[in-house]
Amino acid sequence: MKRVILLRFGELYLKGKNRGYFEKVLISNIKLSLKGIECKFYKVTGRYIVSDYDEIDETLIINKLTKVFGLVSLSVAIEVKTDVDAIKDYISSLKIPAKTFRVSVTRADKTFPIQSNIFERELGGLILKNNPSLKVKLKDYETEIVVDIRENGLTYILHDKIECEGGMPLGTAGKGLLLLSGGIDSPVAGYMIAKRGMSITGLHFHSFPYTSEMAKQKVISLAKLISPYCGKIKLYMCPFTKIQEEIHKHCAPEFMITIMRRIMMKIAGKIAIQSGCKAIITGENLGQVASQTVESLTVTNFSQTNVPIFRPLIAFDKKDIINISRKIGTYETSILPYEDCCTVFLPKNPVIKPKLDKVLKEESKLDIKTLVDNAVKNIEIIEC
Amino acid sequence: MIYLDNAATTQISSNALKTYDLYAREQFFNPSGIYDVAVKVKNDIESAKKTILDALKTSSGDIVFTSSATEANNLAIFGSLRSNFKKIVLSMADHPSIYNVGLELENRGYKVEFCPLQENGQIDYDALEKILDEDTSLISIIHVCNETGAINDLKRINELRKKKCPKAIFHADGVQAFSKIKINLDYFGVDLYTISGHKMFAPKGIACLYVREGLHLKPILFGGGQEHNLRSGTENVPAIMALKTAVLEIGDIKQNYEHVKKLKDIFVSNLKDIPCTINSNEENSPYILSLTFKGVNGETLVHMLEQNGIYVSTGSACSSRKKGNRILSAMNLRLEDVVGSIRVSFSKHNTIEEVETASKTLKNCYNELIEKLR
Repeated sequence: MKRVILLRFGELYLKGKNRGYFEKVLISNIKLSLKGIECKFYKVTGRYIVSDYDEIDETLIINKLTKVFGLVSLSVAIEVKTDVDAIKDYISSLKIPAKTFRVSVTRADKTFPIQSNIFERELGGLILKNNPSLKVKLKDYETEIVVDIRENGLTYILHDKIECEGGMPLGTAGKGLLLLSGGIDSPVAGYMIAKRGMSITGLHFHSFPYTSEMAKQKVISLAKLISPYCGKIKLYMCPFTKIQEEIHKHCAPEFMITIMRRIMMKIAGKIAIQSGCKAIITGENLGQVASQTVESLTVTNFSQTNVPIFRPLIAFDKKDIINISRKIGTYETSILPYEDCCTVFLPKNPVIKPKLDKVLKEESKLDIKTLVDNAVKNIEIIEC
Repeated sequence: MIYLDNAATTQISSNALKTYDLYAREQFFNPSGIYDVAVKVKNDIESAKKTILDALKTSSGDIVFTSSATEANNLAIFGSLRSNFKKIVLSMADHPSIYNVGLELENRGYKVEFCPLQENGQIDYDALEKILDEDTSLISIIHVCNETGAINDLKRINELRKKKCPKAIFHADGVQAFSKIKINLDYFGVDLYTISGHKMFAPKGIACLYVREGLHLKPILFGGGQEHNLRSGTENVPAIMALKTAVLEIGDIKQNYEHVKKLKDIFVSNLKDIPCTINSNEENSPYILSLTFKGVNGETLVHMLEQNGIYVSTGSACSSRKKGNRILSAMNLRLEDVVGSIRVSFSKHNTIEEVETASKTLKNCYNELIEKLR
């Protein structure tokens, strides 16, 4: 008899021709998340099992696995040899801290001598003996004791299901370039796109000396914080000071932010192609600030058309974004008060509904190609 | 590198480090031990206390070693606290390790008043006289303000205490004063006084609280009963002994003061052509210089200096979040001026050449920035 962790994966995407590929990626992601922890990992029909771990590591393993996209839920289970007496012995010893329960037996091993419904009643009776105040309730129960009799001669007895992230295995939907500002939204956008299977490379624009080394460190911290979900992130740190100074010097102040975002997108387009990213991902959200009106987003979109821009948060309420940010553990870091490059040179009255022709006219005052090329040339790459 | 952030921390001196090494590797014994080598270490700690008491120019009292000045300040306040305390008086110039203790005490239901500041950064003595009354049980005022270098007149405060609330306990945070300006605790009349190691070339992780003879504090940490039961936890002997070495190395305070005063004056005079306000006046400790630059962000200036290998600190955390600076605001500075402020803090080891270079670079950085922001 030993403790194991039983993992369930989503069924939907595991059907069809791609099943083998999805499963291979999922298994590799699970193994990667358990790297450094001594344990065994194997597959039984329709399930994965983690076993032979030190009990002290159990919560750590659970914590890591709940963040692996593609897993739907997991349970800690007791593994016993498929034997009526052994199962009964264990069930008899159970102390259940609940008011109502049910027993469910699933019998993949059809050679097991007792029918499921009869065995359920027998086991229920044993539990009641040891827990006299407990009541059986087949619907709306507090706890379900599941006895899963597998074909491999082993039976798993478990209760309490722990929900995992669900989603698609990371890496099955290609790679995207996430624009990480250091705020609340962009790490959440990264997490959400990763949940659809897209792995992530990061791009951050910094404006030293207007922004500090601390602001840079904050972005590195954020990339590390989402890595349990998104895997290790390669972060491109792009210097943006010169570009901001040039816009400030030559262009009308109300276009500062619009032009800045368009140039950022041009740089992102270049980096995406260089680094094999198939999409640009931003934390933009409709109408949240002046630069995120539909007109602003449209004008930004036209800055480069080689790579699509995905905005997973486009229709989210701020409070919902904050909730996810708290859940994935980035909120406290995101709200650290360091200047980010968007707050420097902030005009008093930015244009809210920019028109492309006017923006292009303003932009023509700049040597954008040289500015972009120089910024790209001076990018620093950090492996987070 | 030109390091002008000595109010934040200092580099440990070679001799202090040697002492640290000696007590970390050779004389590493637990001073609570009853065998000879441990007893020797215990005696060495006592000698360190004596050295510090001598430097504080006091004939009696005790020294309690703590892990930081923050801990010493917490011990001073919470250790003095009694259930019958009616009013606690602090100041707007106090360090967060006192100011935030005050806010916590308010949360716990105590009456806490913060003495306002004059425009020169010193406490407003007339206001203090009004605030102090017979209900006042505890007064804690920073000796030298870590943001502006303003020196509060502890003797004058003590006179007010004697007049208005003679039973009140009087604590002063001397972190930026000790080793830099003349100190005589008996003359000042304080009951409790905090000093910190890493601001004066001793290692980080060591500080202490002077406790006047006859004053009984209650511990805030409970355990093995070290430090006469006032600060449980094995004594940080290497750091304590390194602090002793640093105290012995203070040298001639007056001479150091004159040197640093000269540094400050040169720094200020090199900025006379640019719109820069000096928030630290002539009477302040010359070790700390608070400056406000019009129309720029102090943080940007700090980073521009950093690019030139010159290290100073900001007067304000961050403009975008309107954090501001409590102390500068209490001196009536407007928020936009607070945002444009930086703090330059000298040590006796800084040279005239360093200060000439730093101030000229600062001037150039300011001009360059203003040009870019135009």
